[in-house]
Amino acid sequence: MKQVRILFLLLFFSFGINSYGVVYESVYIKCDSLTTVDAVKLPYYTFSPTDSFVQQNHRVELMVGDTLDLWVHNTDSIDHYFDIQGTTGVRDTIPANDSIHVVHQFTTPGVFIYYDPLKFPVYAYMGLSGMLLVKDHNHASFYWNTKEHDSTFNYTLASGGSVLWNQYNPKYFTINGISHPNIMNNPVINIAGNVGDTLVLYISNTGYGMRSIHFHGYHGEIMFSSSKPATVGRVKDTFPIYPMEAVMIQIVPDKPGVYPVHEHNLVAVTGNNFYPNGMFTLMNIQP
Amino acid sequence: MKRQLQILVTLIILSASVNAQVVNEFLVAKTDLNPQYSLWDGKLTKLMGYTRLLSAPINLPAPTLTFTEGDSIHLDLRNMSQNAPHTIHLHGLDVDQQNDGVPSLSWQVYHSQTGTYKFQAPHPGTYIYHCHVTTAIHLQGGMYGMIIVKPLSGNNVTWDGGYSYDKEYAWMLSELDSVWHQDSLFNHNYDTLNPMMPVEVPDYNPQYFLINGKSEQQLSDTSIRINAQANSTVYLRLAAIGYCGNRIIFPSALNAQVVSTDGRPLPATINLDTLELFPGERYGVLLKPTTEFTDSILVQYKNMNNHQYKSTQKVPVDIDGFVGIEENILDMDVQVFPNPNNGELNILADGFQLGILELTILNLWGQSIKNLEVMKEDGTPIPLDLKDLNKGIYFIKLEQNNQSKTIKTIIN
Ligand SMILES: [Cu+2]
Ligand SMILES: [Cu+2]
Repeated sequence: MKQVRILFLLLFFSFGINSYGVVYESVYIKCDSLTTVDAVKLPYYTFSPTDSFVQQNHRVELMVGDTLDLWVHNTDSIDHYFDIQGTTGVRDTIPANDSIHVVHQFTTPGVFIYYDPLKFPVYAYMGLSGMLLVKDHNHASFYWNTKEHDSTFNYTLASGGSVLWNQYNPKYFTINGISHPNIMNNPVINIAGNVGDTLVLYISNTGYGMRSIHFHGYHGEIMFSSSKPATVGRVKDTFPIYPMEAVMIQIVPDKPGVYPVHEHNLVAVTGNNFYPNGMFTLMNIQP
Repeated sequence: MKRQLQILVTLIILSASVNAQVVNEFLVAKTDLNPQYSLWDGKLTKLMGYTRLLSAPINLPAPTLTFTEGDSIHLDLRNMSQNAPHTIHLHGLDVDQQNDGVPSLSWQVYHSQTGTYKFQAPHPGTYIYHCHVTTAIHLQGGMYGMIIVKPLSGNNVTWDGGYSYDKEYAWMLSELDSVWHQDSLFNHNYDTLNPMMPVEVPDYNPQYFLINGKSEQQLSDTSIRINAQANSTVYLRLAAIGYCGNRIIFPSALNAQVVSTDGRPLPATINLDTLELFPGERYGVLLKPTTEFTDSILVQYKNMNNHQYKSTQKVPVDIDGFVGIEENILDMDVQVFPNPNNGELNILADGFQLGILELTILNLWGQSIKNLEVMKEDGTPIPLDLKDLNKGIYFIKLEQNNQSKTIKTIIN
């Protein structure tokens, strides 16, 4: 029955699409473990791009007007849900060991979080929350999906237990699943470009906590926020990002230099109580 | 001929250098050997910090550095502490890499050495400076202060063409966890060749929640508590440098309006009673009370991970209706018209005798800014020309034979 509905959707969209493209994607709900900066393993889920687990969620990229044709495969033994921020009608259940097909056209630019709303925030926290980008530019872009991890919470939630979120005390802080020093040399994370370039950093906060990201060297402009539209147009050096908020920040460097970009809550620049093994990375601007 | 050319060249060089105002500042980096800094409950703590004088005790926050837009600044840092070196990161000033104060990317100041940071201050606003060596420890240790950049056009304006104000306050929000203020942390391992070497730190569970290094009853300090006149404008600079998030709740009678953040004007100002700010952020808020009242601004501190509020600090707010000036004659009929006016005004001083009256013009804070003598003639108002004063609220004190009366006027 589900397949019949999908067929109708496909027919509908094949007539509606003109010059815009269709972006075909598949993601797999995979349950495995996150390996931390100090090689500890925590129970963890991701939306992996293939049927084998990878430690970061697959990033979905579209241009404005594109239609996303997405299969979400649930390889887990329990039912999950699926939703994309900023859309209506996408939210659906994915039975255990089953799949759903999502077809949706994106007509406004931005950055949105796709996630599993099951027992929210439990499964989004356990890893099932990734980035979906709808671009209206071709500027050099960098992508940070940020999360924190409290080992006790991961073990308790993985075994079906319940947690008190007001006791949440994460010890690991990751960008795309990794921490300092592993985020010092990563072409997706490290902003790089030349003086005068327009550089774009997309940041999503898919953790439970609050982010405050500080740029050395340059101010940037907030071009988009998925949940705080009143902040668009602000020119800042420190960017708060609320849980389940995603932002687009634009920087036009006026001078060369290698500068840090880091969390300014310095607890988030630790990994299992070691500074600076958290959210501390570099930006490299050449003349 | 050759000599004249040389003189000419010298003159040109001199006149060029006059335009760029070079400002010299000097700070000492120190670490307390014994606990000396008084917390609100009487306990003493050790600090790491910056002082202007070697002999001065370390204070929280470090001295506020005030510059003028366009200044070229030479900031000397002399390190008189043992153990790890120190730096100054000029948070928000977007300086070049050499002067950014990040030890792995520029240079560090070792024990008994001096380094000079050279930078400009191009945008008026509120900034922060702090050490960037093993930052989690040195910042919590106390190595942070505020930088205020004033616009060229004067002291009491947010930026050129921005908002004018009568009075300003600057609050630096932070916390202190006494577990971190121990020699075992202050004397952490450090490899000068590998400044990013991992260093272990305790969990962060602050016991003290600070505004300019003070909390609880200490917040009645006149540099923190808001004391202003009704119908005046206060500019409140806020800078968050702790590891907690902050929520500020203003009494709605303060008519709070956020106009700037991180050293830049907001694209659109916002009127609000609740403002959140997070580590490293700054905001500029105009407070525009229109009535006399007493209340508090609440400053809350919340855990960045679990969003639990850990403390609410109350800062007293006193908005006065009038400047307190003693009156010898209370029922004397004195009027000013028109009111408000453009600086040209008339005074009716019926209760005074004909003859000379002494006039004192006072600003909102009761400071005398002008004295004059005028002649009171029978049946005619006394004309007064105050067009040389800035727009604002003034008080005019009339005196004769040890009797006086003060009236308020608004020039706009
Ligand atoms: Cu230091
Ligand atoms: Cu900073």
